[in-house]
Amino acid sequence: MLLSNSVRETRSVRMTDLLEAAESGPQSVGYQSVKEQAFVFDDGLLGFHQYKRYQLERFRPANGAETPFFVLRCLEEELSFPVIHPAALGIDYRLPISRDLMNALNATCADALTVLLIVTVRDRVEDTTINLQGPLVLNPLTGFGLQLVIEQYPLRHPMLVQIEY
Amino acid sequence: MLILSRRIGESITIGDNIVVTVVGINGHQIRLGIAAPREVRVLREEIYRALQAENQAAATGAESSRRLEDAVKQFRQRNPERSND
Repeated sequence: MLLSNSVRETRSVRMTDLLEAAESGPQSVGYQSVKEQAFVFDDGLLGFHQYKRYQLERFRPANGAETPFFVLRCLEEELSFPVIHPAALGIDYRLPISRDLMNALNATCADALTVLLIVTVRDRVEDTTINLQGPLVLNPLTGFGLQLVIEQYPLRHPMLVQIEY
Repeated sequence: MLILSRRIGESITIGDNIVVTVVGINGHQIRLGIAAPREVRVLREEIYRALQAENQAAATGAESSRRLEDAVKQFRQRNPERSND
């Protein structure tokens, strides 16, 4: 997990750059290739520290249509989080990658990491927002994930107009 | 709650690895320096609470599929030109 006082060491990496870099190599984690797999969140998610094991699954509506949504489903409790990759929203999402972050996810290179954003679906669907402040950073190679906190990013970013299929 | 008085430059320790130091005071604002192990997440309380609440609002149980499906449907209706299926 990350400490606030480690921010000094971070460098900003454009997620799209990460994706482009990843597409040419064998460790592809671009959003088209975000895979259904299990992840362990050693520290859980904020407010859900007790739940550590999750399965990332494609969201499949009843009609079987393709959607850009995934669901992070807890394997220990009836609990799930709708998530989406920022590229699916056309968001240029920059993630500060620090050595601590890499260590926490057992990652040897930043290209291996990917990020998903939690979707807060509200009673009025048009009020649905994306949490840019607490991204889920994942290492598909090791199956580790964590919720990062980037204080200067918005907690509730309106989703409505960005959606692309 | 334990309440302690400290002057600028003085610290308190929490456990073996966490030190909180009063770095400065300016009117009603106090600057704190916090030294903690890397695995300890240090956040302003309001940020922590807001993120916790947002996770709770996003978390869904059995209802999740239906609500997300409604959302997807509505997004599609609003963005038909982007739909490719």
